[in-house]
Amino acid sequence: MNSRSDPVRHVRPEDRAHHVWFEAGAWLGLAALLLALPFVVILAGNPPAADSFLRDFALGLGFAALSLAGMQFALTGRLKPLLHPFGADIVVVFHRFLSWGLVALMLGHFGILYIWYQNDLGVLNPLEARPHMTAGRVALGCFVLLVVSSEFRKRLRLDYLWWRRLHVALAVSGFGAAIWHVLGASHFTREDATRALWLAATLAWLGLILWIRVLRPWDQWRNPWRVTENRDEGDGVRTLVLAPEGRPLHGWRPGQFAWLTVGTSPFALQEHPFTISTAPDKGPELSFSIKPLGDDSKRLSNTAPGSIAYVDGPYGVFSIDREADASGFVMIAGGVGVTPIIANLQALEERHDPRPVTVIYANNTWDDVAFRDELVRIGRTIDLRVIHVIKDPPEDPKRWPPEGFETREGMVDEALLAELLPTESRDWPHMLCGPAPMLTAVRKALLKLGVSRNHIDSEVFELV
Amino acid sequence: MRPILARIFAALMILLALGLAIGFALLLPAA
Repeated sequence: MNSRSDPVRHVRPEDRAHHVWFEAGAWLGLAALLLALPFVVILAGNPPAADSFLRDFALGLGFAALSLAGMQFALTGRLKPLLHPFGADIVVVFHRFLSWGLVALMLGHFGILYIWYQNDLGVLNPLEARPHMTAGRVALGCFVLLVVSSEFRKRLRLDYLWWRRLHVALAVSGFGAAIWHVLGASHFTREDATRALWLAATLAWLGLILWIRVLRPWDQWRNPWRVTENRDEGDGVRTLVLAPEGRPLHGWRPGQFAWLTVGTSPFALQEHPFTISTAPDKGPELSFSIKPLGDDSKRLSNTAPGSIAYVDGPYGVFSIDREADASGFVMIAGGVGVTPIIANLQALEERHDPRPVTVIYANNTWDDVAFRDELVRIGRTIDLRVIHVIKDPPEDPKRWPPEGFETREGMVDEALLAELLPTESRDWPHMLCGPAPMLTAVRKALLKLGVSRNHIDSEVFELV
Repeated sequence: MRPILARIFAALMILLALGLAIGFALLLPAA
């Protein structure tokens, strides 16, 4: 094997499994410390004497919920060091489940006081109530609305862009109201040290928001990109080529994505994630291959050359370069989930990587299949087998089965995987990308076939 | 990482939060 095709050469030390787990552990440890900090500071000071257990427990729930709420801003702030060990999709799942838990803690805090300690709460009428108590109730309302509007966004027919704006507005006002509530209630926050801690936490939180919503977009705004080409790739796929007019992007791994803003300012919360389809060692131009499925990808795929664009990236951990010791790859894609898989294949092609790759690519119809010809082209250079799995194939016998393609009819299930995957591939990384229900089904089938959990890696599309 | 780990991590954080709230109520000095 020459150095050009040595796959280990492309794996960075920080992407090695033990390093990734160490980083993940460090972040979780830090989160636990931040959660414990308010309690330690209150108890180490000169706290008021214990009341009834239930009342003190209820107040404790409030502090814990607020600490967790503060952390949520870091989770959704696209902080690269935080995303590195987990992956952006896992952090979003964590954010979502943590939200349920912390709203339950807040409801517990309010519920216990409402039922057993009504005097503490005072009147509910905001015109007569103490303002900081109203602030607490406003905060609770904001957090409940945040969870409901996110869980039921589609059922509520909430447009993605408006949902995002609402999400940011509710989160900022909810957290601000909660801080006001804690400092106003001041039962445990009378001590100087406690007040200093809450002030520091509030300032850190404001700093985080300033960085995420103002300074980072500002940096993007100062480093624009220009669309130099919008070409048709066939199969309904269009590729946008962007040239940097400021600082170029460096160091992305194959399969990573960037948030792309075209036609509006980077402050407008209108960016969308797209896989970077330029090989990592090439540049400084970046290309993004877009299959126009949603309204926004349709709009982006119609971008005229000369338009200004903004790029925030790279993000994502769905990369062959995270798999140092793989002797081959199984990649399973559903629909538009194929884009990071194409980028990984192009990197293998670029490096003349000799390892065998099996791609199982599921689509509803044969016309939905993107990158059909690109897959054939890549297969001329690397050891690649592509199987197209089509749920509703064409009825026209001239069109199905298509000549020159390996195809199956139906869905990707255990029987199909058992048939298509050779036994030696059980120890290869299985890289899954597509809609969540498909990933769940394929993961179960792979586990039944004897693939170890450690060899299944996935990236979820469509999180909200 | 697997999505199930995200759920487990979130559940652990919530359990820790509950534990801290209980510990807090128990550790406050008696009147």
